[in-house]
Amino acid sequence: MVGPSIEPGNSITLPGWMNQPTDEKEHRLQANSDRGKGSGFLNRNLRELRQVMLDDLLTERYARRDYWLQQLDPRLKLLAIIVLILLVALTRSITVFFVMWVCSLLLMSSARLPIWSLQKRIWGIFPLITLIAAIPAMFSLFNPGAPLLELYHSMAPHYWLGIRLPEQIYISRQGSIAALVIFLRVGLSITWGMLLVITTPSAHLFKSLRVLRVPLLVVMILEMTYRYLVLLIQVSHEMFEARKMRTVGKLSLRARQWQVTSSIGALFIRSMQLSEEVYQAMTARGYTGEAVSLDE
Amino acid sequence: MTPANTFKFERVGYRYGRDEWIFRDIDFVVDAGESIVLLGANGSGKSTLLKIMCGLTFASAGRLLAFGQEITEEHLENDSAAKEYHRRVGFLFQNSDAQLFTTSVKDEIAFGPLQMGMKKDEVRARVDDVIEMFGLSNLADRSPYRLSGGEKKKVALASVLVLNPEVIILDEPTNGLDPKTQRWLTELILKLNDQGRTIVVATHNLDLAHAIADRALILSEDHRVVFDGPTRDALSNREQLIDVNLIDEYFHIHEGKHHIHQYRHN
Repeated sequence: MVGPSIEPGNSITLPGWMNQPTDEKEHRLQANSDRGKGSGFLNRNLRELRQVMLDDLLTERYARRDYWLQQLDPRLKLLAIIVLILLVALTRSITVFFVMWVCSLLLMSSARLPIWSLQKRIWGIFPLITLIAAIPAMFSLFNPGAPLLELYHSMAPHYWLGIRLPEQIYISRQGSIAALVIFLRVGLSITWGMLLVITTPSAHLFKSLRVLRVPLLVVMILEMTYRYLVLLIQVSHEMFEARKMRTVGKLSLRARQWQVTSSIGALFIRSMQLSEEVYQAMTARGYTGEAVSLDE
Repeated sequence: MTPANTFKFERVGYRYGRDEWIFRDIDFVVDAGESIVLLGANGSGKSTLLKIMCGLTFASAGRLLAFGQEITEEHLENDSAAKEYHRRVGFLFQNSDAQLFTTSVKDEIAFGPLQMGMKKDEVRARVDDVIEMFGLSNLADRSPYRLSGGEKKKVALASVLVLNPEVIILDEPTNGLDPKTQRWLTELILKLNDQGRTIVVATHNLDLAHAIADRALILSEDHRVVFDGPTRDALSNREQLIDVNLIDEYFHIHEGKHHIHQYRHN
């Protein structure tokens, strides 16, 4: 008998090929082009996201320790961080930036945080992207000033299609400082934010937002966003792992694109269903659009 | 005067879109203090029927009376009517993740009573009682994502029971629970029913049905109620259970012989 079938009496007939082990030689050639471990843009990013969200924030393993920074009143921490971030946003002094960075390192070490891995995470992604985006600002075309490094110089003006080309292109001191300031601002803002989030249990953090008179409904929405973001990261991670386990060798770009888009689609549908159910669960316990909290 | 029956379904139907009927012409009555199990294979419409009972979805045809009052979308648009109804009818979702939406176990349990407008001191006292009753003290400040499947189910149930509902509706409550937690849950359901609460459970777990409910309703795969009567009769009618695809012909119950139950008898 060919093909699977469930006969009356519930005896399941396996298809012929399932009765014997897979012939390895036949299938090995497809596995030859196996990529190295940890490659793949999506894989890396999901793993990183999961690492940050699930391992550090969710387990609250740093937030639950008994050092002074963790013990500090979350409301005080929140206010202090807001002041510090404002300072980062307003100052232009490289010295101030440097002093702040050293302070942040001292705080991290006093709270027994993993300084090196945090530095990698803080400075390695967003500030670096900002820096790359800010590269054009370093050139004299956008930020003329004192030349730092001359790239091109001509005596007579050149024209191209009637456009007068600049006689001189150089990296300016002012431009470089501007780019550096942006880089440091982004990095230090993330540093302060990270320091707050990693040393404070999320529930306390959300409650302390109320001190700043953030409306309860907004706090509730933030809380729920955080709660379900985590769930969706878990789901997407599982989906990705399930795919990966069934993927042998290297897939074509097209196949990978299809994988990613279909995963996004599936995830979207799941999150829609979930949000519908969450709303029903809230309604079932008497929610009529008004937020109430036990703490005020 | 309280009407004798808690729920009365009159030719209730539900459909997606224009003609895709999930079920049609459902007629049955749930009396106060009864424990009923809704049996049906996957996809027979059990969950939807439960959600209609809870006033979360509304019938596309026919009508549902609860506590003598017709439950319609318009009726529950009135906030106080909705709060009152949801206080009396508690619903345990199949998916605990949908039900646990706050940042800590304590907040989760307090959500319902706060929404009902109870005084904060009373809410705190109730929450503490329920936490103690469920043995959740060491988890009180924990986030829902740091709970195991069994713990999530317990918290979800705690957050329903804290409102002290008259009717408790449970959708596949034992799914994914280990045997010990299943037995714990079964005992709790029995106890709640003993105290006079109406229990409605949807499941395809026949052991659970046998353990908790006196009366069973069987939904067929074509979404009709094909049986309404004592659970014992429902479970001993093999032809019917096979017919609605709940079991196959190899399923058997060791009647009259020594056998081991997962659950303690009443």
